[in-house]
Amino acid sequence: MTEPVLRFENLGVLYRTPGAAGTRAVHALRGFTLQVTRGSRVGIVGESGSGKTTLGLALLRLLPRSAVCSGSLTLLPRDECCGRAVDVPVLSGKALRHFRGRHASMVFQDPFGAMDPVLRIGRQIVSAIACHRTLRDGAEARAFAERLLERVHLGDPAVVLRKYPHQLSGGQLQRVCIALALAHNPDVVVADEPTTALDAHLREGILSLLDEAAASGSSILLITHDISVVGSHTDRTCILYAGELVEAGPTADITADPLHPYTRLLIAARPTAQQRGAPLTVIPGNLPDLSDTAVFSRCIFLPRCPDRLPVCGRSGPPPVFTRDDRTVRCYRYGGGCGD
Amino acid sequence: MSYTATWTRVSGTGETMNRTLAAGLAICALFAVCAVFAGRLSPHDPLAQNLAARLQPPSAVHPMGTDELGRDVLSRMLHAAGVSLTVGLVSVGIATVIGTTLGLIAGFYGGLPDTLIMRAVDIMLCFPVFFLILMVVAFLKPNVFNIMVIIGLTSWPGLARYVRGEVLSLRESEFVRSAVMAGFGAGRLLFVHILPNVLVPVVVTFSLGVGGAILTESALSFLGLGVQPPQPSWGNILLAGKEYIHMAWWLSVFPGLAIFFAVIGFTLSGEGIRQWLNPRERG
Amino acid sequence: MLRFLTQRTAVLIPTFIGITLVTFLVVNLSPGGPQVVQDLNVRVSSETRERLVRLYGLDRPVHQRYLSWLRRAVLLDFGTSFKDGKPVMAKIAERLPATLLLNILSLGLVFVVGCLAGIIAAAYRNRWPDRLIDAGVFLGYAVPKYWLALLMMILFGIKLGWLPISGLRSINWEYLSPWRQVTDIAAHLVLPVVILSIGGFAGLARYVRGRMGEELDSDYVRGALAQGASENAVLFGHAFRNTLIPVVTILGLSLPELIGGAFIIETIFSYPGMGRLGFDAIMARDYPLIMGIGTITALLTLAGNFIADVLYGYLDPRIRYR
Repeated sequence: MTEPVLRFENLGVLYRTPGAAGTRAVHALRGFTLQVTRGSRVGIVGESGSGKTTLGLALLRLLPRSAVCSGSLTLLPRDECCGRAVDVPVLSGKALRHFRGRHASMVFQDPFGAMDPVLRIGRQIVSAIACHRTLRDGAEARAFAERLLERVHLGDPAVVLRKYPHQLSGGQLQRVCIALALAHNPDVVVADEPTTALDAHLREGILSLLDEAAASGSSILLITHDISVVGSHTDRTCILYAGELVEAGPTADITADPLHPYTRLLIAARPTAQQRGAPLTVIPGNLPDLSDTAVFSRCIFLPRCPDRLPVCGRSGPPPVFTRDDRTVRCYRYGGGCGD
Repeated sequence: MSYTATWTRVSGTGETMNRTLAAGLAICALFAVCAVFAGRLSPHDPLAQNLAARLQPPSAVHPMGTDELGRDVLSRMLHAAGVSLTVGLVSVGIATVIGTTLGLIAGFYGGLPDTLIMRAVDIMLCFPVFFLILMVVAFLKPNVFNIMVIIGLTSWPGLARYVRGEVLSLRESEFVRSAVMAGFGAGRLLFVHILPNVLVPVVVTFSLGVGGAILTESALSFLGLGVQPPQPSWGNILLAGKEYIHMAWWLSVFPGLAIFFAVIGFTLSGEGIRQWLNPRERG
Repeated sequence: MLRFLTQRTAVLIPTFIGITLVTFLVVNLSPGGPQVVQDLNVRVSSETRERLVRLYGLDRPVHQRYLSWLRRAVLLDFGTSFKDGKPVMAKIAERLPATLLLNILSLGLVFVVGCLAGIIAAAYRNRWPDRLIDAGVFLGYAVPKYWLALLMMILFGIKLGWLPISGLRSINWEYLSPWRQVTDIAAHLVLPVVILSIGGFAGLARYVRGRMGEELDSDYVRGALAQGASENAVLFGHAFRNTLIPVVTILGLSLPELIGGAFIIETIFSYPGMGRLGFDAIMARDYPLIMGIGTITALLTLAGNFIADVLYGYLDPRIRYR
């Protein structure tokens, strides 16, 4: 399937935070452009502070009131219930409530934090279903809920429905959260670090659930800080650094042949079996201060880049260079060196 | 190895003062000035009776009128400020010392001392504080000293429980754990690590407590069990106000306003200190 | 849940004993204690005085007196009043319903208004309704209740004549129709209940706003919104429901304040409740009555806290189910 389902165009998000000398603006995301096709799995990789969570929240319109967005975000739903294209930033009221859950949904990092601790699971699932469907009675609701739990391979769905969140394990609860996210077969599912809070051996199970969802037509935005996760569970990958998209392309290409220096460092920093005994690679330095607009006048990665060229320090921020199906923001691939 | 106390709670946003704190301190300062310089500021002797000029409404000579014995209300109010502030500060001071000490012991050592102290706190908190104070004050001579001691001795339980909670959470925090691993003794832990960090919430609670103590003292005086006439107190002027409710509105209004603003002053100060030392909420 | 219940019940007994101990100590060891009885009744002959002393056991050592007091207190037998010889428990029982009515109504008002104010403040965080409510809470705390009572008595009772300012019933109550009887009592209750509640709903509003603010920031609220729930559904169905649980405990903890505040309110409004009885008893140095009221008041608080604790355990599924 190559029809587009989601289009980010120059999306920018800044947070207004109160500080000692009045309000400062933190530019958490700048100029993000991406097109997602139906049924594809896109990995969004970056360290904390890269803007990846902001991206996910922006899509669901869950940013706090102090956030100011710019650019455009368009969804092209399968189902034409709200037209051919949905302009996400202008949604409000009933249209927004319809959009959330029915066309886009989210899976959060900590399943225990993501569910209301004082309500039974069955009740929470049913109310999520009822947001977008009319159910005739309790029996139909329960049947629907049980089917949802079966879809995420949870044994004994009837028993699970009667339990409270704290009575399940992390892995089980995250499956419930995924069931909730998939309840209405949304066009896009944002999964924000879905396995980070879980034990490593549960990771594959959760991620394969997301693969199944993609196969049935829901695109997945897999947000993670761990580049090794995207290897087998994404078709394309975006690398975010300090709020900027520095590289994007098919996952296989990126992992085999990373272009941007940051990507190369991320891949090198993965602890693999061969490295046993040798010191781990770290990326020296810290993220820049995103409220200081001076840092945007040149390449954002410059202070930490091991492969810098003379042109990097003398010119403004590098433009986006396209090669085949890949994009990269780095002077090594153009703008002074030909191409 | 040089050493500095770890002030994890003091994370000021860089502003030295915020409006709340400024307003609160200004009001407190105003009352303090009235209290300290009451003698010089009063136009008349607060105890001088003038039966020919009883229950006079506010005028140029008597800006707040006169009471049922012809005494100048403004002068009495100024002198009453001293009483209220003293009672507030001293009684809460006593309660703070007792409460903080017991809270520290209970939280830090745990075990038997903790159980005993917390049981005592639970029991004391079952009694309506005011009734307890009433009971004791009724059996003693009602004077300023007794009132201060009683309010102090009945207000410490809440603070003890609060301090204990803070100590418990501090005990589990990383910097204390690392200090313990480094081998610091109990005394050093207590005084250098825990006490400075507990001090901040205690100071805030102290300011808020003074407001409460002022309310309590004036309530006692209002019931006739506090400061006794002829010594003036805002509460006992209000008592006269109740007697002459139909004839002398000024006796009811001014003392109430004074109490109201004094409490606001201390509460604002407490709030201001809390805002100053804690990061503000994000929108 | 059972373990929780047994824990809570086990604590009750030592607390009860502690309460009796405190009441006993306060009355008997303070300088103005029962010894003064002898000075008060100056005209009484020395024989009668000796009989009184033996009757009330004032000649026995302190610990024996405490034990016999404890034995009787457990049975709620507080002896007879010094003033008029009526059994203390009977006098208390006569006045208790009125005080309970006052306190329960007040608790209800505190709950409703406090929660509403807190919810509105949290929903409109940092905007003008929040700031307004914050200011209101502030003022509510600083105002001396008895002063407000005086002012309102002047305004509503005297100047406007809308509400009565003393007692619980009008003089001609027996001759009124049943409906008028109810409205009469209601009218008498308005001022005392409102004044008693003011401090309480200030504190509760503050707490609810803070707690709701925290809940609204949590992931499950975002999750519910992400599923397409409406803001109201999230506010009430999720955030408030989670806040309600600790609110129950807060209400329980505010009982002593409420019962204590009732003393002053009842005195000002000449309300025929236990508070006024206690105040009169204190003024008259009626020790058995004072000790009785002190113990009963503390017991009421203990009961209230216990109920709040149990309710908390019941409402929070994390405690109810393992």
